[in-house]
Amino acid sequence: MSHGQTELTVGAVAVGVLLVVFLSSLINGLQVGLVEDVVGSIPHVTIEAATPGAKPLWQVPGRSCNAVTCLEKISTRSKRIEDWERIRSAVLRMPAVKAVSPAVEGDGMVTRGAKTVGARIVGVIPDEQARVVSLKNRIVEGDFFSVDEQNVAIGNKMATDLGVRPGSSVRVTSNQGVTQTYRVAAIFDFGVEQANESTVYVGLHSAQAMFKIGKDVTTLNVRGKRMFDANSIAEQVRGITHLTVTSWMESNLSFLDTLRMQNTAAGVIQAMTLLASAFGVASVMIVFVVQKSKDIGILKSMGATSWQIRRIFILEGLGVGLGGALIGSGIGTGLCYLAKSLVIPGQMFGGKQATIVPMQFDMTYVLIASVVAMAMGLLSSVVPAHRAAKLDPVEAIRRG
Amino acid sequence: MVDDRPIVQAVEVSKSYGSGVKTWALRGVDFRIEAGEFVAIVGASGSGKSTLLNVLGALDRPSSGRIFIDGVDTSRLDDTALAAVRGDAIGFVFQFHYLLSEFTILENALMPLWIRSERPKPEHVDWVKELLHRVGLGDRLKSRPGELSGGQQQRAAIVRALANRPKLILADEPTGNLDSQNGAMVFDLLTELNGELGTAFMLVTHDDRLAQRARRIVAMGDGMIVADYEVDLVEAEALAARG
Repeated sequence: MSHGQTELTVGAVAVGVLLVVFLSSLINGLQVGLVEDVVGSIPHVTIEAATPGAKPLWQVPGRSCNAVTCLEKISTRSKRIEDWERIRSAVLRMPAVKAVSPAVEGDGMVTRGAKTVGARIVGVIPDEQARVVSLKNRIVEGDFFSVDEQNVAIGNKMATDLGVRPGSSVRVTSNQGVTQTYRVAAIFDFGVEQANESTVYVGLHSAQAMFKIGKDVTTLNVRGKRMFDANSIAEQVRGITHLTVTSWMESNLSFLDTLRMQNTAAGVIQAMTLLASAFGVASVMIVFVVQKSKDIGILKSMGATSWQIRRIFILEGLGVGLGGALIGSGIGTGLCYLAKSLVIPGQMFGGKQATIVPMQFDMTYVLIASVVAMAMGLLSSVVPAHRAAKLDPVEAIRRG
Repeated sequence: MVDDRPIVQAVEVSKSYGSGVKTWALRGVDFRIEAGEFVAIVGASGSGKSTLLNVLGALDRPSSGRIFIDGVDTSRLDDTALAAVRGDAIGFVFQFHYLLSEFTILENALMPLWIRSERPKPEHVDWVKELLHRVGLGDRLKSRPGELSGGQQQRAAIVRALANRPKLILADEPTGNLDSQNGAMVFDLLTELNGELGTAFMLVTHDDRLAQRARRIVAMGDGMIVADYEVDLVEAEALAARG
């Protein structure tokens, strides 16, 4: 093509490819970060003792209130998994499951001097819990792995509310009325206000004693190998137990909807971008055919076949696609890495150092965008090539 | 055995344009060109000269009648086969040079070889180079068409038309865009090449002075051949009187 036209068409394709590479990285970066923020600090699947509904007292043996309004007190019925070790090993044998961590959860409060806050007491074995939820970059101070019968980990908001630091001691009281004094070993930031405000991690045995459930646990937290396998894992677990099984995907439906909508929106934008580029290339090439019609006529007078003429334009289209793909993916990749290097000091996103734009770059995007660009160049050359091939040489030469 | 077939033969050839009201550019023309001839076609504009040239060169298909090129009935050929016949047997020269501006003079001249085969034989390439030297463009092989004068451009276009060693060159007003001096030079070149290579030439011209130097003159009027004669049999005055 003549001066400017080649650059113009290659540029159009390059911009399309660049946008696709950049947008894909950006959207994916956003999603990975968001998912990590939302899902990283919670187990993929939780198995809990089924909470029985409060029964009317006339159904409870040994009680004698016949009024419909007389209800059993919920808290008196302990919620526990007795054969948790058997269930744990059964779940661990499932191929999609990576880890299972037993936990004892219950309500209570944490006191420091005159200050008291309501708390969600979670008893865990730190090593096992760390395999189920991501603690990397979430521990602000101290060492989570020293949580045991004397040491606790609390959220940064609770630490501020109580005015404690690692090394301070706090008193933890369960709703069963058991109180124990602990040393604060670690302070965490799960990025979730509620967890930072009220969660206190204690050792598993401590919690078992505080809630008076012997060697039982209340919860089994499960980590799958892939986060989007959670529903199928939950389904399998339901097959082997009557306990209440919840996957993160079930309890975050609106979040998943948002992700899906984001994906759709991104896909539409990318498709539009590529379509716009393709139209740009096609229109420049049609102008090119008009400009070159006398050349095409002369080539035909020299015995060039329609296919030979068509091939010139198709090769031109492929060349434009290839050139655009190379330039676009080059610049796009560069921009992705540049964007990745622009960090916001002191801010975290998705458990990592936050960047001004969250980028998750993947060679796959470059490959896909490049293949699409080639296809685009090829497709946008079809109409011009056809017009050129069908040109009547006599007309073309006369008008030229 | 001497091949005495005509190179191109038109039998009862008519050509019309338009679908509703038809304009007849050719009306039942019978015509033949023998090997090595040098024919000038004269006539007023709209008399059908260019149409005859295009139809004879298989650049255009007649509405009725048949064209034989080298004995092959072109009405039986599809577009691809027709393109091949055109590329092999015939070369075109137009009023404007129509050299491709992105290519050098040598590349332009080699274009017909490249269209026929992606790797032309070296001896064919050498022959084209020789021809370029022969027409005085030996030092302009690497030049672009835009760097050449009008006469030089037309000479390059003539070499291009000859590149595949066709038996017939069809030239539509090859000197029409040149001043009289350059026009005469190009015309001389055509007659010389006709003698040296034995290639037949058929050219449309408005210039009667040039036409008189052809060995055979065909006059057209209203889509028909109104006169067809050997020049040395006709007195110049008679031609002039005809207008």
